[in-house]
Amino acid sequence: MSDPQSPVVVVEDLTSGYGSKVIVEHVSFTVRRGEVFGILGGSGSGKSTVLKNIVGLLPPLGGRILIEGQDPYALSHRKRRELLRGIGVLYQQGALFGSMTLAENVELPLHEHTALKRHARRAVAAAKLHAVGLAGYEDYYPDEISGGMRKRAALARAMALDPHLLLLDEPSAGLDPITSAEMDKLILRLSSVLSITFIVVTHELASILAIVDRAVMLDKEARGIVAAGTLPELRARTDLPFVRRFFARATPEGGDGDAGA
Amino acid sequence: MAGPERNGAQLDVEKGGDGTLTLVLRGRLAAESIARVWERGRRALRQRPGARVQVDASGVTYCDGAGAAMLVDFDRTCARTGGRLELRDFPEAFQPILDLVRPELREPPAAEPCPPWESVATFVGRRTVELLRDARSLVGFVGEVTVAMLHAILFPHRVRWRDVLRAMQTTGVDAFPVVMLVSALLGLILSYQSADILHRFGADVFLPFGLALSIVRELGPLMTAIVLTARSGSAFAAEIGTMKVNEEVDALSTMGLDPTRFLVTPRLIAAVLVTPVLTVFANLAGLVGGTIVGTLQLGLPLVTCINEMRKALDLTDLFGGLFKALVFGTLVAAIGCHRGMQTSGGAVGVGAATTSAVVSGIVLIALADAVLAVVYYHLGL
Repeated sequence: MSDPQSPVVVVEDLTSGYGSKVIVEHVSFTVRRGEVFGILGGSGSGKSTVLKNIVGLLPPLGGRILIEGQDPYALSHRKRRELLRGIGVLYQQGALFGSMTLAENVELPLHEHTALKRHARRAVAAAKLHAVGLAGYEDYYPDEISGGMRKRAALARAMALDPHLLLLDEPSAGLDPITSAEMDKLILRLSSVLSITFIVVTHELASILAIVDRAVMLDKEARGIVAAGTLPELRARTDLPFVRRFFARATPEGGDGDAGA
Repeated sequence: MAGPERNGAQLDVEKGGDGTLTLVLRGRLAAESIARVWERGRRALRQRPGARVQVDASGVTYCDGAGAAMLVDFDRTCARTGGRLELRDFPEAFQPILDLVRPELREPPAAEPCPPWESVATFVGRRTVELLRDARSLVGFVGEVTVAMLHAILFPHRVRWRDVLRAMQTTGVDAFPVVMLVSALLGLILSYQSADILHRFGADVFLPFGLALSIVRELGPLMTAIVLTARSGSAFAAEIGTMKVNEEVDALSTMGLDPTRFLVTPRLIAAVLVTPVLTVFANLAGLVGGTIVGTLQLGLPLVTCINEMRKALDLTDLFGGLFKALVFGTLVAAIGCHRGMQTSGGAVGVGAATTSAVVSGIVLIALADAVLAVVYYHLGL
């Protein structure tokens, strides 16, 4: 069992981008076990790029990433796969396979990574779908359900292998406020019940205020972190124009008060 | 006893004299460690249908979602056989996980019922209706395309010529090597197949004659069209299909742009322009391929080959073939775009549209070729 005090993810002096184009540089932060950690920022600030670095899809141009003390990019293919098995990812569009039912989507990682028989995989899939409020929808196809339900089904798939770390890329994007609030509630519930560490990439203020414990704020102009800390700490940084502008929408007057928190 | 699996999941089955069954679970109940324990537990439950079952979970040190799903499955298996399951001493720390995955006692919404097996008559009827609907939709599409093409002729400055040039590049220039290769090989094969029989009758000299006629009138346009169907028809369907599922086509409509004029017209113009040109080169490659066999295999002088080909062909043959190519090119582009516009249902839909574009394209080419053969015959061409 991992040390409860040890950090789950450590990002050290990360520089990242695509080809020669640098998106973020000198980014460092630590994600503690059991917290909901936010990577915040506007469009194009590099939030999703950092997420891709963490999940092993994009090697950093500089610096390093440690997951449970191990650098995924320095490991052999087998060990890296083993390490990433403990991570679940919810993609922005859900990324459910349209040719499979919801249960089959959830069963897929179980089929690949466990020795469970078909009926057992099915039972686990049903349980995961139940956990996200989709009991009875096992045999539906993704295009037969609503956008919010698709997101929840994708979350069930991300949880299929009971990961200790879940990364959510814009979990509320494209959802109406009520469905978005339900999604936030679900994340909080899963966080408290399953003790999963969450990294949430988002620019949705309502979600940030509802679920995030600590966060870093990325800025496109600065190509990196402009502020970091707990939400009250972040909101107190009124000296930073970007932070002020970012949180301005949370208050009815457009000021820097606490309304809406 | 099921031995401890990786990280130590363990199950002991104890059968009591009073008909009770006790499953003693120990260790770590996680997805990677419970496969054997799960199977053994189910087997034990099925062997004692209707039994009173107690699951002693006092030795469980860890339980994740999969472990909780196993306990729920045991409960269901027990209930199905008329028994009753009692979970004892389950660690308090993991109770919330069990609560999270335990199904509530309510009827789940009914899934779409599976369609029952249909009879042959129903199947034939359904497919016929589908075919007729498809034909009607194709007729509608032909109408839209005709209007769009007339619009392009009347207002050429409104055509997106940059898109036309790009489509000509992919449909024509990029297809050039493969069309040349296939046609040259076809001429070669045709000559080899004919050489033996012609040689037996001492009619070697007629090889270039027959080759020229078959390549220029029939096989050149046909092979070009088939290559275009595989390369460009499928590409058109995939491009437009992806745009359709990404709602880009809808976006065009809402912006007041006619998707047919915007997406189909440039591709159609490109295909109409490049197919005859490609066919000329395909004819040339086929004739060269056949001539190589004629001179090297049958020992015919090159001059004889060329003279025989010139005797065999006149302009009617060439233009007859090129007209066919024009018709085939139009069909390939139109059906590719049409299938793209019909796409629905994500990645699977795009795949289906692409396949359908190729299959429909080849069928339509064969049909058009047959019709043109009859027309040419009656016109004495």
